[in-house]
Amino acid sequence: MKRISNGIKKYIPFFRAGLKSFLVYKAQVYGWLLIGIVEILFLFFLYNAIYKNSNSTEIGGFTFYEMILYGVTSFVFANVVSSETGWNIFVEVRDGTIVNTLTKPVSYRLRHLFTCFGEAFFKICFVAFPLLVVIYGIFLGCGFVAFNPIQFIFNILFFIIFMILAIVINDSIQYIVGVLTFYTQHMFGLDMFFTAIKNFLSGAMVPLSYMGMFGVVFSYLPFAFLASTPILILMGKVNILRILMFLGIAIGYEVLLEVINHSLFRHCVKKIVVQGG
Amino acid sequence: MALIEVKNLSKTFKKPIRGNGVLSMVKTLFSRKYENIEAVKDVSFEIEQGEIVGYIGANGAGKSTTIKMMCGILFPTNGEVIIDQKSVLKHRKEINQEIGVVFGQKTQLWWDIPLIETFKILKSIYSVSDKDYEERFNYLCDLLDLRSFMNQNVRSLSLGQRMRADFAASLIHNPKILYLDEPTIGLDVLVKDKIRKAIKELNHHYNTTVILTTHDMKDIEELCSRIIIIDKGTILYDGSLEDIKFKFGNIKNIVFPLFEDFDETKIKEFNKAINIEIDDNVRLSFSLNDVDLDALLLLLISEYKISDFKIFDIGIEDITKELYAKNEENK
Repeated sequence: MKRISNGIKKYIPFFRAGLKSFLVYKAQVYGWLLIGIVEILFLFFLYNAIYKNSNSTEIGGFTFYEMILYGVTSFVFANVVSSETGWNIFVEVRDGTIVNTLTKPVSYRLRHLFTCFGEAFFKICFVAFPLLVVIYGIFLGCGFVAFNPIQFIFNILFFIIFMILAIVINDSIQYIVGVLTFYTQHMFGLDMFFTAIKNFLSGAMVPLSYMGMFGVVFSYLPFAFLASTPILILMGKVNILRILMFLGIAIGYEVLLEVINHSLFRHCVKKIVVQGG
Repeated sequence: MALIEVKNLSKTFKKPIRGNGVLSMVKTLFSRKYENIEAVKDVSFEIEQGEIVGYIGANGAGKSTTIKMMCGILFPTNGEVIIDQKSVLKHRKEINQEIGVVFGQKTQLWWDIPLIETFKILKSIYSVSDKDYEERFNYLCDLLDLRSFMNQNVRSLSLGQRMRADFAASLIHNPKILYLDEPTIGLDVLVKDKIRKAIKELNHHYNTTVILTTHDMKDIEELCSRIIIIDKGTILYDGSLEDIKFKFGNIKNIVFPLFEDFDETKIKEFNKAINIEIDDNVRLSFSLNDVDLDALLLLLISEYKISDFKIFDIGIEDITKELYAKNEENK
């Protein structure tokens, strides 16, 4: 037990470093909020037009207000699960400062995971949590949506579990992208590729239920756990059996991703070229 | 058993061949050719506990590549590095606990936070006990004069302060081995002197093994009992500084200021083995095996009326140049 606690203690500085990196760059939080307001206005007018021209009050299982709530939650959630790990690794490779990281007696993977936790902790406490409380407060208070109170408490608990899993899964994917830069020495194309796939397959842009049969298939891919599944759980659109099934699948994916990460790092670290002498 | 064993180490980099001009760059999008660059070729040596070894060579000779393979950062194409009877690649995390590294051009300090925080972070990473941390922290602060800027943000430190701090940071866990890759690069003479004294003191106090790469030959002359000279990936010399000076024929230099009607004929007549270089000063280089020093001094004083002159041994810089020239000739 003491060994585990000593092992974790080694990584606490990286957690703090992740936290501090966000405290230093306050401007990016304000910038993100500004983008959010524009994006939510865009969603509002877009779905307003779509629902007005529809014969039904529901599309893909969502009422107009549920759709707006899904869009807003998705925007906040995407911020929480975003990870700098890929770019951080790339910068280390580009500057050659990776030499200092690789000569420390710490796991390269855990170092980045704890930095990501630090960033996420800040974003959850100071951005996502207050925003979601206000947004859900408004939607519930105005009667735009309605939830069974007891079920909603359970939904929140499962949402938190799935949010932590989403942070870890997303960071694992980012880690793969970062480690691939040992080979490619470039990040831009790789990042664009993975971001495009993630945005499309995760249901962050439009709910997967809008995509018919494809959406059903996509909901079982690891990307769905980065937006669609946790948000649907919070909105009470997934029953308990399916929640437990998704929990098992998400944990399975994370284990698989870590196995891939481990093998990929062992392979790619042999290809490292230290830039700049 | 040696502390460090480097066995038949080789490293080949695959480098893409890029032509000039836009057309050639477009071509590389579809087909790319590579060339193999052999940075290190079959290098072997052993280093004992407590030695200070200078690893020297020109830019691109393979010094830093060897050091990075010794730290386990780069994977060798062939060969292996054994530290304390453990393979560096197989026991990377264990061995990282035993080594300290300073790369002169890449700081390990956390850029945005006060310097003291970096030391606390390293304490956690290396699991240093409170008692050991206090002892080493105070020792290093006194040795490198760090206290005055310990609470400043790293980004606001001068290069000299940063290098001293980097050096101390690499030692907070009391490593058995310290790799210094150009630790005095870009520093003024006072800071260089401080770092050299610290290396000596540290080697004496903790018996730390030091492997040093540098282009500053004064670092080598002041610190290293042993040098390894590398050129184009292969070792040209591995031995003591005294031995190489002896092997180079006990070469001496005499330097005196150039005067108006200086004529070198008499010196040439005295002994043709004397090499004469003239700029603002006159520099005579010769081997004691070929030239009688007393007779030459007598000639300079009596015939040239020289009273202001300096005599010194050949420097390591000249020896390196000679070795490089010989290596080229042999090819």
